[in-house]
Amino acid sequence: MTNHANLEPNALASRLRAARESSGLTQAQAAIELGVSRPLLIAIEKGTRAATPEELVKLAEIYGKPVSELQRSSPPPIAIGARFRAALASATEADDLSEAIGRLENQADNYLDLLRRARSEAPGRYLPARGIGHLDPWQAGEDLATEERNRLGIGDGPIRPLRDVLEIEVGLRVFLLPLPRSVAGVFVYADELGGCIGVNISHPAERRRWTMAHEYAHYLATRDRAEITPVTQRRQPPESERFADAFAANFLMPRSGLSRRFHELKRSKDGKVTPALLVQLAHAYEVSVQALTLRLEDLRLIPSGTWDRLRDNDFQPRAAARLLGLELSEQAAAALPLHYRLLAIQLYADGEITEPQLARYLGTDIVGARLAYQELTETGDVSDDGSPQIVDLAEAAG
Amino acid sequence: MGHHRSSTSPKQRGDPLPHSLILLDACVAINLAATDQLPHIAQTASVTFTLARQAAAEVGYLRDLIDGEVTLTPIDLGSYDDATLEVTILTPAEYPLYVDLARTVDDGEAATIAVAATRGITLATDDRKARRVCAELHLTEPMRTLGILHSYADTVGLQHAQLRNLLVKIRDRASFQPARSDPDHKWWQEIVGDH
Repeated sequence: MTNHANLEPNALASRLRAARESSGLTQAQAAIELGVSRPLLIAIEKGTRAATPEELVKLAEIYGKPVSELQRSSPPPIAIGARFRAALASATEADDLSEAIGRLENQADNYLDLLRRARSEAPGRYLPARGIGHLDPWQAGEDLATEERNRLGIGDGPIRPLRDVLEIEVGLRVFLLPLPRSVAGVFVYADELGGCIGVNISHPAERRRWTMAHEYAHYLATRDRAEITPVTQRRQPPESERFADAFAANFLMPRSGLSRRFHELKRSKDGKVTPALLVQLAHAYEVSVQALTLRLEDLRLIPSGTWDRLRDNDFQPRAAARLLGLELSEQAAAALPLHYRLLAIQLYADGEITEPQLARYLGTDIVGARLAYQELTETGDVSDDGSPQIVDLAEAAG
Repeated sequence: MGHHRSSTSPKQRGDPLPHSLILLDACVAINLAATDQLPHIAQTASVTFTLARQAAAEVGYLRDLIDGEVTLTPIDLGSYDDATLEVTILTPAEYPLYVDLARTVDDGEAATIAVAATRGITLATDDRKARRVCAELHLTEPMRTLGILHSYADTVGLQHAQLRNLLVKIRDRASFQPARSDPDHKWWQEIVGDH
């Protein structure tokens, strides 16, 4: 039944070691819990002595891991945690962040397992890293953003399906994660999976888009180190952060397209730049009014200090957008990349994974997995009783 | 509890039940729990439903619409009496098969199939992958959710409206959609009214 030929030697051993480490147990503590000597546990973790089924079941209980996950045929992507730990040396939210990093590591592991099961590869082509060298960070950000837009063939207009572009065209893996409030996003490059972005799931959609574009810049230029992006930059941010912000501003709101749209709108309002115009333009680009206003200031299309004046006058962008009927529809954002979810759904439809496995990959319970399956296989048509019609991929596959 | 005609039940309350077990995987357990009729289904069939501990840990929640809001209702397996449902723990002798199966399927299905194989208990699962693994192990073809319910409905003589209510509960609370290959798929369609 099991294809042992596909099992990577020592995969179980390294998974057992990683599971013990993430559970916070020392080898001595784990050995006591298991009822064996420490040298024997070390031998199991080195792969020099195979764990018996009884030991494996007990270790899974001790570490709170499913037996099935411990037996995945490849080692866990531990590089993700290690790279972040290096970056965390100077971070203050190390404790809060370690949980999120563990989650990202787990989701990356799931993604790799899905790809292995589907005998597939993650979307996107590998792009060599771009050096920004001694260039001015702002200019480098603008140049690279323009270059990327050209490469992707997306013109100079607003990018509506930003996440789709990043996931499918660029080949980034975008995960929405519960992160500390003060952290906007994280970036890490994992050799097996490519660039992985974690975005704070509790932030508004506009902020999440900015974070995605910002981390995209890190992927393009500084992927060799993990990044943790705070919501508020320090007074003297490092050049890599200034570059990433410049890239995000230029990628989301390119100079030429934004200037054209700004002037068109200004003309339609008798040459006046009103708060309503800013709200309208921000809505079109799906960025915050603050980001849009600061961008227009940078482009010298409006006077410097406009945003500060609006804020001093207690301008409420969200209330204004609501009043103008220009609120972004805050759809329930999927925490996992679309390609990841489709892989899991297709594997389930093909009878390659069970319903509880589907639930585990999707991070939900079994009924939640059934709902996700129906949602992702629903057509625009309705059945005779008015309920949505579902294309059963399993049936289609025969 | 929905209406039922106890006079047609083959066993009256208090009669000794033959010790017969049906092993459920988490997915079938969820479906039967959604009916709110699990004790009566067990009593009517003169069986005790059994779940492996690993499968019991997977059951999660039903979805109920309360005051227009979708609410998560936990499935409390502990609320059933021992004659209705019991949770079984694997013995060390069952570990080798369990561990081997857990390379292919989740822990709950692996434990369920290992128990069914070693103890010779009838298994119920709708899961395509799990059913294929059972076939590879040459186990008796597993029962399905609809097979259990069809038999229950025939035995107690449920009227159409009562039966529809039962099946709609599974569709709505457990989001269950039977596979087209299910022998009772047509029966389900006729009762529930989907086409």
